[in-house]
Amino acid sequence: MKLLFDCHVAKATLGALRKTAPGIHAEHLSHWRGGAFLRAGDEEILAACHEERRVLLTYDQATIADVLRLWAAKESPHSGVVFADENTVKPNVPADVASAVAALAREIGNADTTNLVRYLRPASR
Amino acid sequence: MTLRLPKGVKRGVERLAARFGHKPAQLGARLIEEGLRRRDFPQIDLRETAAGRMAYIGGTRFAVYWVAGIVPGRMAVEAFAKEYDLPVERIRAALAYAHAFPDEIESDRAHAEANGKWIERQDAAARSEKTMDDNGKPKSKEKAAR
Repeated sequence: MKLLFDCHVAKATLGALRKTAPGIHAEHLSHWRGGAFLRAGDEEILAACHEERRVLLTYDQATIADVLRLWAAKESPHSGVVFADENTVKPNVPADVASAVAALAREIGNADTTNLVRYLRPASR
Repeated sequence: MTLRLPKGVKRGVERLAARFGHKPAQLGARLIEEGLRRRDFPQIDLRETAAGRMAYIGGTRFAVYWVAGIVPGRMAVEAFAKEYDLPVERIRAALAYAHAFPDEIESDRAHAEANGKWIERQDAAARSEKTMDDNGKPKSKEKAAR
């Protein structure tokens, strides 16, 4: 599985995820494609993720869900979005985010993530 | 108040109003209001999104409502700035903006919360798809675990 971490996810999560689940190829928005998407709009990011078949992990629930509904209406596919909530998995605790991502990736397995919308839940300990 | 606009500006406002389905006068008032906000909060970007206009910390994807929901209650300004590699002044500007426009920030937060319910439904549907077979019947534990 390939993932893109939105700006809200602590960069240290990349390192934590490499240790927890080395099979997941994650990038952080701050470095992805030379930082070209640091202030990009949701649609631009979702389209670029789709080019790479990359799932987006974001904490911003205010705007991307609206984009997904619009895209669904016009049958524009995306490569999957995982929404997280700061009340459930704290974005600045890399180990928790990495464990939750690894658990979700295990659950999804090799399934096609096209148009997938998931909620990030804390990994059971 | 009546404003006299140069011809080119008037045409521009009319074109933009037609594009977004507003009346030119409404759009003109909104542009002036945004201009004043930009003057008072130069570190904040107002962007058009699929959910309407949203305030962001300039040059980033950090929505002001999101930052204001974390700082300072769950994270100190300095800690947030360090974690996300942002100047402290920009975080303070976001908080000042949130303080100046509480209704707007509350509306953004409420919208995110409503979306959260939609996300939970999508998530539940995806989870149940994984545990149902093609006939909508629960898969056996063994099958579901595959």
